[in-house]
Amino acid sequence: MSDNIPFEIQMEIIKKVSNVKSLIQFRSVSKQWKSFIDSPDFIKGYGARHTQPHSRILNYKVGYSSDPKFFCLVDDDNETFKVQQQEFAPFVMSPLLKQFSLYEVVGTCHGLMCLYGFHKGYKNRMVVIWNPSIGKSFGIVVPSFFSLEFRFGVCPITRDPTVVNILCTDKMKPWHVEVFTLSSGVWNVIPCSKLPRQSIKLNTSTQVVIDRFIYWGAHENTFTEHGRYKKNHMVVSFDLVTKEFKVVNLPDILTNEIYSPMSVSVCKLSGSLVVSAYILAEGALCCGVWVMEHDSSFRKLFNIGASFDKIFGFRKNGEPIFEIQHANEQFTTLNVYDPCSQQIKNLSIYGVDGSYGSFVMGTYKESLLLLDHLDSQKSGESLSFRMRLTVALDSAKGILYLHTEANPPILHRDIKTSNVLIDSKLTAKVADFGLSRLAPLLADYGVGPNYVHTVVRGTPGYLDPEYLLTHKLTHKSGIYSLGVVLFEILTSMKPIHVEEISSVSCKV
Amino acid sequence: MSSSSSSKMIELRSSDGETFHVEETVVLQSETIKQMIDDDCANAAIPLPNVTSMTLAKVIEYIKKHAEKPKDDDDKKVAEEDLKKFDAEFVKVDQESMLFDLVRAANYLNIKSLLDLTCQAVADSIKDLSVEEVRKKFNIQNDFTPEEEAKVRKENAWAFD
Repeated sequence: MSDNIPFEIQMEIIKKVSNVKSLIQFRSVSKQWKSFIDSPDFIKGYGARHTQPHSRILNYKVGYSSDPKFFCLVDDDNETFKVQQQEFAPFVMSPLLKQFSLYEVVGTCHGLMCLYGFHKGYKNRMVVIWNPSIGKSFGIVVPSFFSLEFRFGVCPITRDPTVVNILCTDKMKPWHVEVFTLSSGVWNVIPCSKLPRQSIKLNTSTQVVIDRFIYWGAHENTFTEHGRYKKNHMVVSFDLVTKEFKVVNLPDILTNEIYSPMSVSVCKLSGSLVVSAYILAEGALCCGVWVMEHDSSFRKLFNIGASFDKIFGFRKNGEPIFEIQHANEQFTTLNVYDPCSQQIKNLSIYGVDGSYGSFVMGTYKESLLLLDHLDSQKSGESLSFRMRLTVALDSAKGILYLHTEANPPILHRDIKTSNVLIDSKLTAKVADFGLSRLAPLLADYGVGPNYVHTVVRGTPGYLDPEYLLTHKLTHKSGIYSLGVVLFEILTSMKPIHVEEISSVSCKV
Repeated sequence: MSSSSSSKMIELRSSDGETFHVEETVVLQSETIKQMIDDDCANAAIPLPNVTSMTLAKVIEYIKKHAEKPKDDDDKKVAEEDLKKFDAEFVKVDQESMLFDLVRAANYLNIKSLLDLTCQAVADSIKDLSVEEVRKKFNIQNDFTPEEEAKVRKENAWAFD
């Protein structure tokens, strides 16, 4: 048949392409394909997909001051993982990441990895969200310089990457929490009423994200009847949808077993929360592992007879993965535990010998999140007021030209920040004339109407309400949209942002 | 009577004039035809000017298979497995153009499961193709200037190694 596949079916086909790398290539098929793949709806809808076979991302350091190493482990049900070490594929490092030193992994979620480190160029601390499957990252300047704890997750509904910055180190002060969402681009302070009580302290250990919750270990020091300190262990969760904290109390049967001075760690096993901690068994320290059931009760999975307290995660076949430090040795080994034979097996992955405690492991998934974001090098670098002013002035000049100097004058009809392009010298240009209309000539004023009657087009948030109601398009609509753009340049906030409506209107 | 209504035959006519008789219950998987029947437009043969007899025969083979109902739960599992195998074999067509014809027919007849199946098969077949091959396959005009295309590629140079 000679007729072509219509674009709406091509879109259905593009949605079903199973790997990110092909999609990235297909952006250069045509303009239509590029704008479809780059659209936020497609990026969100694509979600995060497992590679086949499943892979895990492993990060560790050799010595505490060295740069971290990243590995991709392929879990194909063989005795040991395959390590893709030479080529970092499917990893793509981003230029921004290379400018960091001493960074630590905050967590992985939805195909993204969140890291914390020191930017060598800007000489300040930043959080970086990195998508290793497309090599894009986004740097976020951290608002405070006190000792910080970060947590990271992606809201499963809005697919909005979210960083939680927690200050709760001072025993005397309540928690102070700020949340950064990529869509808002700013840190928002969480009101005290939504925070856990101040006596709860975080464990500086790994986090895990399950559905809409980020979980991590915590503890609270209380006095017993005999006036002695007691460390109560618990798990704290942060809801990525409602931005609320919750304390998950561990049952006594569990906490009684835990070797109290140490802390609990969390990970997940096929969508369920798993808690692991040191326990005392027959006078020796070993690792106890529990899983949270649907009714929030905890069930003991097993005790692993070796001296460690943290599980990184589970293999596809259900075996837990952990590191063991060998006595009098500098190196650690990665191991798995076979619950049936109760044997600990060394994974003996060649070339992986990091410092104890520096290992972080997450599920590796492919996602397109961050594809629609600015060049990684510049992102995170907040523009100074002077730079913003330049951008605002250039945008206004561009629209002035269209309205008055262009012959005939042009009504752009879709003025918004994403249509203001900025070059490497920060010169702003108004682009995308896809919806533009020719304006009535000035000479005709007084003779014909000074508006164009049209079907309403444009982007919600930037649309002039008068035009929306009357369908009469004048150059004033463009000025209204420009006003919204100026507001956005000034405040770094989106014109429409459901959650922040109250705060935006306050600022207006 | 349910038995008589289930055995009611619908006549379909392909673009090249061939007619096919299919049970109404089977053909109802096509939303397009269902709509025609609901609107009482299916008393005579339904003309399908966009579907050739070769494609229509394949489509009918598919909907017939998917109309089979398992008797009990045990049977259901077997049937599901069987259907999976059938689907996998179904999209292994000799000619590439046949797959595209099936995609178009599934879209025109509005049979969601067949559209999903065939689109997935096309997606799997293009995922290792180069950009040029994809353009050729879908007959897409490259509307980038050479500079623009180089720029788009440069944004993610790693993907083209």
